Amino acid sequence: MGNSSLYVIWPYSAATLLVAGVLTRYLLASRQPLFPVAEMAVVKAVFRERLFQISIFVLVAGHLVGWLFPGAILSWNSSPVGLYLLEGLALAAGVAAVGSSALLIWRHLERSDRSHVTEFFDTLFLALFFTILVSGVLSAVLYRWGSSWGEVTLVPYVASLMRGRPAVQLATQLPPLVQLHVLATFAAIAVVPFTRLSTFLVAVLQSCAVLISQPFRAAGNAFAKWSNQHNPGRWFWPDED
Amino acid sequence: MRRVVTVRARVCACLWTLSLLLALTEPSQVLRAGVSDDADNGAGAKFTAQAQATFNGRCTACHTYGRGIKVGPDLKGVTERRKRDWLLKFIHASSGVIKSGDPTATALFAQFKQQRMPDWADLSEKQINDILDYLAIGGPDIKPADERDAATATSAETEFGRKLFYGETQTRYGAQACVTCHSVRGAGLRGGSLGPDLTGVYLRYRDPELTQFLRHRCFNQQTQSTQEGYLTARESFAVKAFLRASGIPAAQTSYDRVDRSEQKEVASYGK
Repeated sequence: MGNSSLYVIWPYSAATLLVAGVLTRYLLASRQPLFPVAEMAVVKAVFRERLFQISIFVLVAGHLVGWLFPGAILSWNSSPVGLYLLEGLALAAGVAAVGSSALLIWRHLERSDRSHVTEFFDTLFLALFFTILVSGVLSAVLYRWGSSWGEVTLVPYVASLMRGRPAVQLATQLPPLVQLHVLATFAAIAVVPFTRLSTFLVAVLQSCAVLISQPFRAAGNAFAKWSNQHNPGRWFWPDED
Repeated sequence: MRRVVTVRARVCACLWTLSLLLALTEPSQVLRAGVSDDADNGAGAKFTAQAQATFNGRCTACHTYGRGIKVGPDLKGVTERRKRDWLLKFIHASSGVIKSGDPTATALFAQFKQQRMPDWADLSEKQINDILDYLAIGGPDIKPADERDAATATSAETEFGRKLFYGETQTRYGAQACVTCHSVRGAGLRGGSLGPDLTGVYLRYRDPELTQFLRHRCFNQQTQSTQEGYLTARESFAVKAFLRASGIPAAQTSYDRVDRSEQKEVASYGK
């Protein structure tokens, strides 16, 4: 598989699979109202570890801030103390995430109340997730100051993907370990709809749908109320309600 | 029920905040990419790129610069041989100047087999002055400032390079500091380890090759416009000088002995 397939087709395929898969699950969930609730209970049971939740939150938030504000991160890193603090925090969160996710995988393997298909995809996702964490931690240790060089390599690469003109060379020039981190992330994104983790995304989608429909529903109610008050039928047949 | 609404409101607030952040981030990148610097022509000398382009496009067909007569006279030293006012009038409308009986113009007309120079009436006075300024400081003979041998760098220039390397001074076009990915002797933990250690890079590549190397981005970005700058010639030279100083023990020793007067010079350098 060439670089163009890995860094151009693969990310878009993963994103398409995620969107299509979650939408399908959302549509299925609307037919079976209890389905997401039951699934989410199982997912919550597996991901209940507080250390895991905090470390993943720190890592995801850090990646998100780095992606949204590359200039701010580089400015922060221009001071050695700031750089050491940020990298130290990220590394601690990464190590904690690796440890707690190992525990999570062990807990997952102990469970047996699932179908073979779900079991396969859940295990595959956790394996990919573990690969992402381990490759991320090793990259941070072996290739110093990823929060700085990531801003001038991986962030522009992701931005180029978003713009629809992938700058493949930005990713292919990176060490194999970093490339593994990137490619495993795309693979994990592609697998999410087939796992029980997608129930979280379905729940978010449902909340968004409710939020979006709220103004329309309110407007519809207001219109119904207004039309009821100003019903011309009352003028013609005042005795009838 | 009230609790559910609160959670939804939080989700909504998060989505709005995210949208706002995305909207704020995009213009800042556009502004950064839009930075242009006409004064930076890669030579460190003050002439506009437009003047150079106009000279190449309109003058070089008939004139040389220091290589003798072609169709018209050699333009090396023309700003010393002729007065600026006369040159302005002649370039703008040579036919008018010849018809007016100007002795210099008439003599040139006779000397060059009655071949008259085209009237560049479309060029403004400023454009002609810019071309004359370009010729006055060396024209096509001007060598880019970054081609200077790093051995001739002053302590101030080397210190400027050190600051650029460590990101203590921002590059004009916002290029990332070398220390992000590279290290040199003395950088300690501050140096990155994604790229190679650059301590001996000057000795390995020598001056001209390093000059060429510093003219290109470390990471080729297909989507980046070729118009966008990377390092100015002066910044490129300063970084090269610092790499030389960090790789050659003797040079490092002399560089370390920057006296106080030079430190003041460093402070004003690059502003």
